[in-house]
Amino acid sequence: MNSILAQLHDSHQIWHGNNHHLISDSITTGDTGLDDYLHGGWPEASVIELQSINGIGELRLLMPYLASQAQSTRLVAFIAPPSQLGSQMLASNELDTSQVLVLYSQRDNDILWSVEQCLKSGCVGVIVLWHQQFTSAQIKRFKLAAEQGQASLIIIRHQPNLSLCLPVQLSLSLAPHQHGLMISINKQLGHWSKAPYLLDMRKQWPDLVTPVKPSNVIELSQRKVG
Amino acid sequence: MMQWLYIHLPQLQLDTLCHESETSVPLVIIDAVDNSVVQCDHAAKAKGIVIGHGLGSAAALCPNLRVISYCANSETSQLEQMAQACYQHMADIAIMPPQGLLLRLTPMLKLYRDAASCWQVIKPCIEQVTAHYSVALAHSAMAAQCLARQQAIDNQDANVSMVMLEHKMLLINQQLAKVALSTTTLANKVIRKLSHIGINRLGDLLNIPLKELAQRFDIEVVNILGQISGQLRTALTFYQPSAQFHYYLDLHFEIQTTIRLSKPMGHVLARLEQYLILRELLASELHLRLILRDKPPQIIHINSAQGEQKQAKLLELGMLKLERLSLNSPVIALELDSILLIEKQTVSGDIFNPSASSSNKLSPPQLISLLQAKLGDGSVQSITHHQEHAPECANRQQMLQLKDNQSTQSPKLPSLLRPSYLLSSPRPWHEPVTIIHGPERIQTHWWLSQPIERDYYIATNSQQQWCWLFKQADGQWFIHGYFG
Repeated sequence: MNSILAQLHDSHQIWHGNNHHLISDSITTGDTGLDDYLHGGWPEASVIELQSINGIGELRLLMPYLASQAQSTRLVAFIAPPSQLGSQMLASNELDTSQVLVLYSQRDNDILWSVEQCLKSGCVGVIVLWHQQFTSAQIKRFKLAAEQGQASLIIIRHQPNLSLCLPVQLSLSLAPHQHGLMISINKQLGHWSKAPYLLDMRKQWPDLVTPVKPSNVIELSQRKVG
Repeated sequence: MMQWLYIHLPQLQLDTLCHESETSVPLVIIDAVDNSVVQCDHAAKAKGIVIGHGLGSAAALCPNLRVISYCANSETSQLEQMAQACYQHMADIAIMPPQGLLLRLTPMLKLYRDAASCWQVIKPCIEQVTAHYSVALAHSAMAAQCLARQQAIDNQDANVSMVMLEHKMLLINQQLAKVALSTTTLANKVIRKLSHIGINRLGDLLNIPLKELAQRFDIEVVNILGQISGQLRTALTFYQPSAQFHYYLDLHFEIQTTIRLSKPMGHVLARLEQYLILRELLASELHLRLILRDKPPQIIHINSAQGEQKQAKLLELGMLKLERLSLNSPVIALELDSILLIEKQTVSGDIFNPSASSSNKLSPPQLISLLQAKLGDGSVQSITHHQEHAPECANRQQMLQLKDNQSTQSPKLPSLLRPSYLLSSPRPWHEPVTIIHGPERIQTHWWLSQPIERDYYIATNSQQQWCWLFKQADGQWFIHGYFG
């Protein structure tokens, strides 16, 4: 190699597009199709962003992952959820509620502080965080803490500031679909973007998908409520 | 024959005050009763202030004098703390308020070779607190006290008094004869009377047999002299260590911001750490009392679910608690009490998985204590389930209780479709929705105070959110949760 090139290479000034060893181990999402789509599953010990409104199935998407973490005797922390979490729903997904920690705080700084402490502690496997505004520095800090404690952080937020791309490992957009969830990758470290993927929830959650009406049924006027 | 060691600490209050920082401003301690200087530091001595000066003459010698009033109680509590430290090495310690510690060496000589090696063990405990002390060895408790006090007046070095330890009985008696009467515990009136008839030294009195003394003086004088000569016994109560840790620290300056409390708190907690290490205990609950000027003290509860021994860990927990506290008034003193100490249990780590047992890892109870210290106890919650039909009662988030965490096995729940987000109280609902499932009627017992009768529906709204709605008997619609 050219000596100047070698020098640049040694000082990490050259970015190699093809031999990127950033892909760490991944954990299955519980759905083989989604695993393939995400190149193996959820990345381990990382920061994941889900851009989604609440109540369209975002927790159902995460449930197999959370349950597997709780089984390995590590805690699952829910930080600043928008409301109380239903114990029956968690328990029916085989998530042991004795392994669940729920944190609330009025102050943003306290929330971010507790996220970092939980990530660093090493006894928390995964953290689900509902919080809207972040700076890049905060995410980078979370990434270091996540590596230190071998924990993952999943951020659920619904007003993404499009001009600001956070330095997360994986960023997904979730949209409701009549058969489940439409998942599209905003950003995945080390991979190209792809066409959106439809996560079919009809098998696992038959009651929470819109039933398809047979084509020979004539619809009456919709029931009005209120 | 008994051997007694007396340690006289002439400026205990001054030394404990200056422990933190040495300043160049002269400092004197004044006895409020007769306004005379009882203790003064080097800077004050350099200005010419001598113990016994009045406050007026001291102030005249040095205009920028700092004056603190003498407090016998603080010296006594300091002595107790020293006794606590010495108790690790000596069995029989008597606190002689306000400025002395008395050790009975004889039983300890089985363990230590001689008095000098006893002293070598005790010395660090004393020097940790103060550099000004005098030590004397004698055959009776009161004689040791007189000798030590005399040495303090003669300004003998500690090294010289070391030599004293080696002296034999004869030399001790010689020394005792030279002791001025003013250093004994005799009443001032008696001392004055004796000096009128030319008796100033103890030797003049000790030569007279007790019987003859009893004819000439009252019983109190005879008692004291008999105790000094060793013919009479001195009644002593020996120190018994308390089961809980207690430490009191007077601050040199008033502290107004909580962040500045970390230094003195670290000092107090370092003492606690020593105490805990010696006893193989962990601190689980501590009460830190901040003594405020002109206001009632503020008490902070430091809790650690797992129990901590390390000063740094306890300090971290304590500082998190302090951050949330606003001081009503400047802090003038700290007082730390241990409420719950637990036995230390060693957990052996996994040698095949070093990451699992790395030192910077926290255990779940440690993490929870940390979070509770910062966010407050109520903000750290666990999810529990109760066998109830009403969703408000079935789901409960409550303050985390660590104890029942391990044992309870959550019962198998009926797999009902229940929302993952449950609103704390149902909200009226007016928007149009598409109903997918329902109704599911939930009706509670009529004898309850607020019986409910609701028909629950699962529906999607215009944003495709899965809502959990219910209709009351009166036809009103409410939303109670979302399926996340």
